[in-house]
Amino acid sequence: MMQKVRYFMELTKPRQTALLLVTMAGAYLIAAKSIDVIMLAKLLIMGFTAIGGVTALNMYLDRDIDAIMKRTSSRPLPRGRLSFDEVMIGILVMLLIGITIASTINRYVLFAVLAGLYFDIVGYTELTKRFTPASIILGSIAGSMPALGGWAAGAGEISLPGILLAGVVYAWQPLHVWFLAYAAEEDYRKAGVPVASLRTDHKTFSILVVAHLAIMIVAIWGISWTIGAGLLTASISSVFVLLAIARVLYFYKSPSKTEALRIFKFASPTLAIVYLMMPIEIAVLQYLR
Amino acid sequence: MERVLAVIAGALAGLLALLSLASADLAPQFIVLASFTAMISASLIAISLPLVALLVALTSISLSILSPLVVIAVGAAIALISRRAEPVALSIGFSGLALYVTTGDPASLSLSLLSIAALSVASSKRPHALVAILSPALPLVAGAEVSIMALVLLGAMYLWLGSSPSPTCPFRRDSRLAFYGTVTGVLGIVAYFISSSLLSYGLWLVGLTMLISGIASPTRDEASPKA
Repeated sequence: MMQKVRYFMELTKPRQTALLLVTMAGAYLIAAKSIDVIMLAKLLIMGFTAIGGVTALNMYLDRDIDAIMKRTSSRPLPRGRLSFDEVMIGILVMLLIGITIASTINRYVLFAVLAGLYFDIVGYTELTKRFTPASIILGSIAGSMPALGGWAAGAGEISLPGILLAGVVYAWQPLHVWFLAYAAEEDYRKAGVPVASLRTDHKTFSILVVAHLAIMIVAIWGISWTIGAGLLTASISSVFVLLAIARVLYFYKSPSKTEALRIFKFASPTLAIVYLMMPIEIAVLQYLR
Repeated sequence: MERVLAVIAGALAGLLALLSLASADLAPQFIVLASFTAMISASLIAISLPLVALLVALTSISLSILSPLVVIAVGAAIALISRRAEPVALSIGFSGLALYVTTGDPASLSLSLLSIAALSVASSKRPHALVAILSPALPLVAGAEVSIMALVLLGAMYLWLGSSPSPTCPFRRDSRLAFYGTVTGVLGIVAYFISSSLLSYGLWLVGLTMLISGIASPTRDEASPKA
């Protein structure tokens, strides 16, 4: 039984889920400006179960692709470690917990959870992922929903700073997805998944990534401006994003899979710093006042 | 083609559902959106879903009257092309539901259930047909809410039939996932009638998403994992 649970937990992609939880919790703390421990705990449980449930459903739907790709072929589903009913029950339990908690917070949080589910499963996985590189547009919307949900939990509404917090995640995603696909090129080609970094030359997609990162910087400063705080975070985050841009420009000049993998690994800290540092900065400022 | 239409229609329904979450009163949208679960299960009328989505979104009286007629016309056209009777039965059923939302007349619900009964007879599943034949009386005897639930359950039943060798449901992709989705969606609807909470709405959308996933699934049943 415990082994089965462990296999199921693998389907939730714990590291990716953790990063999205950081964006959700960070956005909540920025909006709430004070820590309500019970609300934070509710949000984290909701986030883990909802994001984990959606990710597991995604894994179920993509199990044929995972079986083809070397990087993912050892996942529980391609190896037949879990039965259909075990996977479905796990997914439904997680989603049920997630939406139950979300519905007790407010309708905007529930909206973010359901929009994340819908854009990820229907928009991205089902309708576009296997057919067009533009699938990243819908996938990125899904990825930005935890931040929006976190903001809605703290502010009680969806307003401009929340949209900007979600926008930061949205603009960050090409950096994360396209360089991973470039580094694992054979896998993606074998599975026939169209990704922009494999469909265009490296210069074109590098420029697109830089454009997205520029938008990310604008969104970060936009958050700071609309909430009237977080200047230090905006400055330090911008340095991180500029470093990422510098790496991408280096890749533009001399592309290699090793460099693509380095950029991919640098992507997560670039995002996390915004959501980790800004709440701390706001809390310190409040304490000093 | 039918599968593609059903997925697109379902996607539109889901988007509309998400948008309606931001509005104050969920009830009217919910009744129509909930019926989508049943109707996508019944499948062939899928092309009419965006039209009814439009009907709900605009809530214009003239459009409300016009839309059911358009739905029937589209159903008839599909029937003509496919040489099958189900599209007509389903389009009448769907129109009945749309009319109920705008007029509140239980007789239009009876019309919906009658068309499902006709479909059931056509598919020669006798126990189900018997239930379906009796169901048109429900709106008059038990009221609209029970009838809508019956309608949705009948939709789920058709999905079940679709997973067995039957001409009723053309979708043979991941019918087990679609079935789980339908059951979840129906639970959401039942929960809605018990207490119209946000949770029931969420449950229903999870069900719809899984249902669409089953219909649009890139991998067939045979590729499902076996432990």
